[in-house]
Amino acid sequence: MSPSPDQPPELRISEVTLRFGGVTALDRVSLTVAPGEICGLIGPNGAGKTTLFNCVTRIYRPDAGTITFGDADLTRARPHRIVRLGIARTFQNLALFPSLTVLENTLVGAHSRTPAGFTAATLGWPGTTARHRRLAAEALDILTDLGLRDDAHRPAAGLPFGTLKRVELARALAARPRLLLLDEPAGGLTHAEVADLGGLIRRLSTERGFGVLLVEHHMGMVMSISDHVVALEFGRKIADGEPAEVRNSERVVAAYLGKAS
Amino acid sequence: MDIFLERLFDGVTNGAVYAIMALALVVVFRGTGTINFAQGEMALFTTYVAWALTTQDVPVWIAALVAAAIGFVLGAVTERTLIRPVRRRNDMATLVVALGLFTGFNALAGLLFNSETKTMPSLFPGGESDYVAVGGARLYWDALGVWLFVILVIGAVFWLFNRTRLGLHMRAVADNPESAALSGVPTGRILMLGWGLAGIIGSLAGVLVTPLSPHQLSLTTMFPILIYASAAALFGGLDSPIGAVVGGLVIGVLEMMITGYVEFIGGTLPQTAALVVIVLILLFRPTGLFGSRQMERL
Amino acid sequence: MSTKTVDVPVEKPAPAGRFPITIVRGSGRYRAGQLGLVALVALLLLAGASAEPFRVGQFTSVLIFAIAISGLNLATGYTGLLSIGHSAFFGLGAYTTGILVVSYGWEPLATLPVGVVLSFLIGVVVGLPALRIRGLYLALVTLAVGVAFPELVKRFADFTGGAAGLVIRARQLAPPDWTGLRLGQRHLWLYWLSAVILILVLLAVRNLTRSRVGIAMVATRDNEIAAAASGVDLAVVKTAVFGLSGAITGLAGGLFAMYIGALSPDGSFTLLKSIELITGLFVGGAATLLGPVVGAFAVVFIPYYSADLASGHVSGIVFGAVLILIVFLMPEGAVGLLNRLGRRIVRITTAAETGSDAGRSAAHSAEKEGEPR
Repeated sequence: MSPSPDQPPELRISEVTLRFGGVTALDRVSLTVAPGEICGLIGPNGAGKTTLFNCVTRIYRPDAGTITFGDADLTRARPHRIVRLGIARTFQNLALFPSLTVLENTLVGAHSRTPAGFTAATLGWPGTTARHRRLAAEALDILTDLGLRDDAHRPAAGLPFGTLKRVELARALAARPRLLLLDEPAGGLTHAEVADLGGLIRRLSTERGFGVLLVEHHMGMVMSISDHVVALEFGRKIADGEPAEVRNSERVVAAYLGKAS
Repeated sequence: MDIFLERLFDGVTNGAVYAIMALALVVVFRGTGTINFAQGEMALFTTYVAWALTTQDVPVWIAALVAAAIGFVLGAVTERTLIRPVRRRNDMATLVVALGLFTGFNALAGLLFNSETKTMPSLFPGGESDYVAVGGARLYWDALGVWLFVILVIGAVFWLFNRTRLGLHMRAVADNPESAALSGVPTGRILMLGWGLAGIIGSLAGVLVTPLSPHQLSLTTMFPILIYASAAALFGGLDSPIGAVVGGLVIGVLEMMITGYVEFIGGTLPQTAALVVIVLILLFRPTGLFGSRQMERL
Repeated sequence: MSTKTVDVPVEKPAPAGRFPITIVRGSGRYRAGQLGLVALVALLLLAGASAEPFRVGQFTSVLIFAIAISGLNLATGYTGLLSIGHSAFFGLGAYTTGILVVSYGWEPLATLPVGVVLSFLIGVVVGLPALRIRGLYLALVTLAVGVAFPELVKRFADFTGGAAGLVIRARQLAPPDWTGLRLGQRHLWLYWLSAVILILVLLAVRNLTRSRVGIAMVATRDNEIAAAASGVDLAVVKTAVFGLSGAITGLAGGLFAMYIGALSPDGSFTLLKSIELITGLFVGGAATLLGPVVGAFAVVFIPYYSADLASGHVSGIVFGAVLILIVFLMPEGAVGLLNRLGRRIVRITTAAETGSDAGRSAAHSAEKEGEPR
């Protein structure tokens, strides 16, 4: 059942549980992102969606359960190795580097792709500079693809919110991920921008060959681009299936709107 | 045995002072999320003022009260003018400002009062024969006085935080300034009060510790106290008052025991030893031995 | 911590018109500018060398502190690891040189690499706590290191001369034969030695901070979690940076020992020196290349000019006041401010940006020499 060599690996989250003091943030959550598919993760606030992301990227360590990406066991990996294993992410509230330019922000994303040694850098080894140039060129291509070429050399601080969301996306893409974790990418965008974003994610996913796990509140976008949707409530999975199926599930509707009685 | 007891008493006395200084640091940390490196030197400054008053025949108690009042004002004004504007910018800026205050207050004290060592009169009777015999050892009145005074201060702080509305507000602001503001708590005023309170506590620590031998009033007096107090505060992860108090006492007693019984560590090396222990604690229990685990929202 | 903000003055868009003048990297104008810079530096150094010995000594002191502050800059400026204990590295380098020369008869110049290596190792060790504890706590750890150093020196008096100090005889610090200088010209030897080492250090820092490692350092400073999520190994970055930072400041310490000849633990290796280094860093401009050089002037000349007034306490007040004022009025420091204003006048870009040379691959982002990150 192993995926073909050029297909991204499968993300398998299995019975993950995480407690903060007395609060159970995640309760035996299991979900699978099939190779290359777009999976939407929905649920009301506090359901544990970002917490689940943070477990995958090892900001938190689950108290129980396993997370594997292909053959790799993520629960054992150190945080900076996650991206090396092929998983990149964006953050809900933006986590950019304000004193770096847009291009440099994107370049950080590529950090994992080739070694960057201290000695070589300090001595100004020609190999290092050449590699830097090549990665910068690739980063510029990504920026161009996302319409950010003109902003490349502006410091990230002070740019409009929508632009910065795309910069974060660019940074994640620079890592040439096999799986992209997007945390509320549509937050703060206008309707038109959201539609563009949806199309962009689909296109990039197909063109660059990566799967997507998408946390999003904008139902329209999630339903239209996802291949499959998972819903969480209070740290538990309450639905898992085709978009239409999940959207119509009573439990999901109740979770969002509250039960009438 | 009697020497052991005397060392113990000295340790507890010193420890008591470290404890209340550590409390001051904890009050500031809970309110503003940073450690006031200048707390010691601000206390030094107010203690010098108190000393100057006693040389003008002002009774020690009055001088101490004046020092506390000045400490309050200094703390409150510092928070309002120097700390608050910088706090939201970044962590380093607040620390740098505190460092500036550290250097500035120390130098100011030296400038106004010159660098000769002064003798600070005690708040309590401190004569040769003012002691009570306990198990063959002498427990001097002034040490006992310090203990009682410190217990009073600790009690007052605990009562303030846990039984008064003001204390509730302070805890709210420390925990979540935005929510507190939304609930109608005057956060600005609360922050100033917090720093002012820390200033009072620091001043009291200064006035209490300088008459005790071997401490005297000089430009370098408060620095070791600050180090020990920081170490004590870290026992509680910087946000637990209980941890700070326990830490202070432990450090005070350990210091006396170690300098008394172990040859190798003499002079000022105990400070370093205290810090090394704390570094080790931070490495293995980053939130201190008593503190609470803090969660960050991403 | 993930919402930690960084002081980045937001740039106003450049007004249309003749300014800013664009200079393309590698072009004729750029090369001319580089040559001009080299000539200017050479001229300044020569002018400095021709002053009277006392002044030359002061300039040497500036050069040495510029190196020390450059070291601090790597850790505190670029990577955001505040260190209030760098005086310990300064002292470690100084005493390594002192002890090796006095007790073991080493050639002073040969002792410098030893000090560098030792300081690097200690730096890595001090950097280890940075892996688990955040800025404030790390500052406390560095405080511990800074406070511990003079105490340790005094404790091991047999080795280090203790509180009484360590004196290196002038003859042992004489300029080596190959320089052609006489014993009485020791001040020139140290001046030029320090100048050369400063230039080498600045080149190394420039290479490092312009590279992807440099970007990783700044990323670590701006947002650790995002940096780790992008693949930056925080452990390696923090410990390596601290090691390098300590090593460079240790190098300055070794030079200082050669310069001053008499070491005393409570003289130049206390917490106050750490605070002076930090002041110099922020006055000059943290995370800029030339900031440390400007800051070194402040560190040397403020005490010098205030020493006459009221028994030296004034210099403490000035340092304190300066630190606070800088944070409020000029957090980017002198060089940071100059860079920002300078960008209105001159902008250095790469060929790819101006589209003037399609054959050249796009390279580094636009930055002038010593631009703050």
